[in-house]
Amino acid sequence: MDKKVFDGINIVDFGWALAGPLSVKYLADYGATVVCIESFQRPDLLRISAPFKDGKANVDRAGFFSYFAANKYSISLDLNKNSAKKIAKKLVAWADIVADSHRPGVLEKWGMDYGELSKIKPEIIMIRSSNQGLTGPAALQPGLGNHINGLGGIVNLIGLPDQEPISPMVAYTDYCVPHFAASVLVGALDYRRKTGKGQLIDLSQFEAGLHLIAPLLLDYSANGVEAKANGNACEHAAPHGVFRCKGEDRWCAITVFEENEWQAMCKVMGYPEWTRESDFSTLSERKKNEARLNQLIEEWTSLYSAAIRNWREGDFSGTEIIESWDCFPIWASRPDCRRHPRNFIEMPLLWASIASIFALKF
Amino acid sequence: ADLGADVVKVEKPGGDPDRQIGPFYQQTPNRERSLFWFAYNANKRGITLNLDSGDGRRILTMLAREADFLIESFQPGYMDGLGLGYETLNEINSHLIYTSISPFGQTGPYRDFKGSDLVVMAMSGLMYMTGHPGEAPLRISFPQSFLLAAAHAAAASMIAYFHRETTGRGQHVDVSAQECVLWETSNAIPSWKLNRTILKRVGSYMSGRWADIKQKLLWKCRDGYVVFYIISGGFGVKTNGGIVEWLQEEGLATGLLTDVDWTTFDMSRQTQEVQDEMEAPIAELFLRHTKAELYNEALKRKIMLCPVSTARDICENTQLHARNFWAEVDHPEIPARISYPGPFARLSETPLATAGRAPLPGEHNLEIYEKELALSKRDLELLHQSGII
Repeated sequence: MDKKVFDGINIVDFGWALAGPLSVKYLADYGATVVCIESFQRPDLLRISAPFKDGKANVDRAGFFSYFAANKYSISLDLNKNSAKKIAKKLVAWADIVADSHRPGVLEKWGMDYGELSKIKPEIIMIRSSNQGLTGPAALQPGLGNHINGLGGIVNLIGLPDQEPISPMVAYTDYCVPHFAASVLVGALDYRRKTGKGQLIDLSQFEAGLHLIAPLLLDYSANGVEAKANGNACEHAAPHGVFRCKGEDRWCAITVFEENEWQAMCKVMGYPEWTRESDFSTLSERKKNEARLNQLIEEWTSLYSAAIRNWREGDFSGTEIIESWDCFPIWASRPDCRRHPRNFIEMPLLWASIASIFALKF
Repeated sequence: ADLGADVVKVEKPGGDPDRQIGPFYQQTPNRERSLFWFAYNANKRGITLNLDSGDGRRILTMLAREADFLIESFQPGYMDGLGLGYETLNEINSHLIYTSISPFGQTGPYRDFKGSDLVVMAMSGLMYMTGHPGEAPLRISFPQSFLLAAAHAAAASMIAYFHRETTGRGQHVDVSAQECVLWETSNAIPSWKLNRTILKRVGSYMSGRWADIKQKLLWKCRDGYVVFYIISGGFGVKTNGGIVEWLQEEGLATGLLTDVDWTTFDMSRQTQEVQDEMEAPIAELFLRHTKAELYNEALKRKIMLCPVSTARDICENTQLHARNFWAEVDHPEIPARISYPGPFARLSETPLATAGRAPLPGEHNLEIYEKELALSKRDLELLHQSGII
């Protein structure tokens, strides 16, 4: 596709780090012209985060930034200065969308809040992504996505039963809420095209993220039940977990939901004696004896390396196994991403091959 | 549906398998009481239709002729096999946006693989980074991969819609859950591509971001846990300074902490030894207080600290109540009134719809089949008796 969907759409991105900038990166990937406003006084969080090319820290060698800010332009402006504000306002007059992810209050301080910007351009669409929204008693608390992992209930859902929870390294909502944002931004663009009206979008990472655990919140409000972490187990499947494989820190994931899947798995394992025990003959028996089941399966998986081709070609027969039950290796961070054909903004110190990740194909 | 679209959920006669997914209202397993179903099918209308029958397929084709979007998540190729694939439906409605969600996408060697949540999470690389070193990688205990795929699919479908409104042409949108979860792996892929470094599980620490040392993320407090970490760079000045001030007030500050100039503090030069020494008194401070006390104090002092919330903490959270987040939804058939999460974004001009109860199985059959598709009562009787609707 030569012509992109959002060719001709202009976006000014006041945002920093992930949640805000990713919301409009999506539009940049599909043709919008996005200009980031950065400042040398305070470089973007991702520019000072590892990895750096050759391990040398430098704002222009930051792989994290180039990965997630691909397809954008950047200018530096110190918005604490009046002359900079004038330039920024000119950009706003040029823009269709203004995105921001500063803590509420920062744009107000700069005189760049929606009220001010809509005086410059009444039909402007402005999206403000923040940890907890623009209003309410916690609006002004600074924070990053990692903090929302805790507040939004994700941390509480990771870990083994009755053990200390695990905080993930990644800022979970930072990478998914931007897709919620993209939906409403496109909706707002369409609405503006039909009515000429712009609007302000107040997006709280905390609130949007709760939709990813909504049934558990209904469970509390309706039943008073508080969901807990249960490792990798699933109430209605066994085996359901990850198992050690041959090699250093290699693992595979196995999930068996239905009887025919269990039969297929027994076949692949070569029907070891224990699979004939009554302890494992039905799903409820396997659930009851899950700890021992997992141990026996791990004895078997640890004989093999966790590569998909092994399951398909080498030690086991045929592809029908793959079709009837799931057994895949846990991948380390090897990329399996599609390259996007669009030109990237030059980051001269970096590999040219740093590509944006792409989840969608049109 | 939250953006105002008229969404019709097509289920098998007898109900969609998703209705079997718990939790259930009052823990009573029942296809009309699945809270999972409620949460993700609010604001939709519902019909039952058996696509394995010729009449069922004909009716779906009638619906697709008038529809703007068709969203499906069958195994790749299934809809093609029914004669309801993109190519076929595009011929009768070139405006149609046809979105297919699958574990690994519509093409490629994994296309036909089954993918449960655990498998997709594992294949995305996210699990490899989550958990204790040397121990089994962990997923989030509530299945996420297909919800993330749904968020991506919604955005992609909207983009396709915008394109259609420009050009008049629909298209096929192919969403792979594996690729969607890949977004969550943060700096893992650039770390591999640039420096051949694999980010591994380090427990509840940040590592490989500003420094190779481990920065503590999760802290025990009197009644649970909180998330906090010492942050490098300009935006760390206030939060780190705030913690030191608080430590001083409680007589816990050490010289090491009070002497730091946070404006020039650089985490990339930090050693593990100094980091541990800095963290020790903070751990002690947090142990003295409950998570609510710590959070309230953090809000006052503008410190970046949040509690590890349980479902109850979230439902009682003051900020959410102050923003009128929760929507009370009536379920007269149960009967019950259940609190739902409110709109995921606040739009000043076109606010998102608040939740309306999810459809009962076949609830809108008459309305849609008789009124909108103009099927006769006799047709409907026949379709019902033959198990098609």
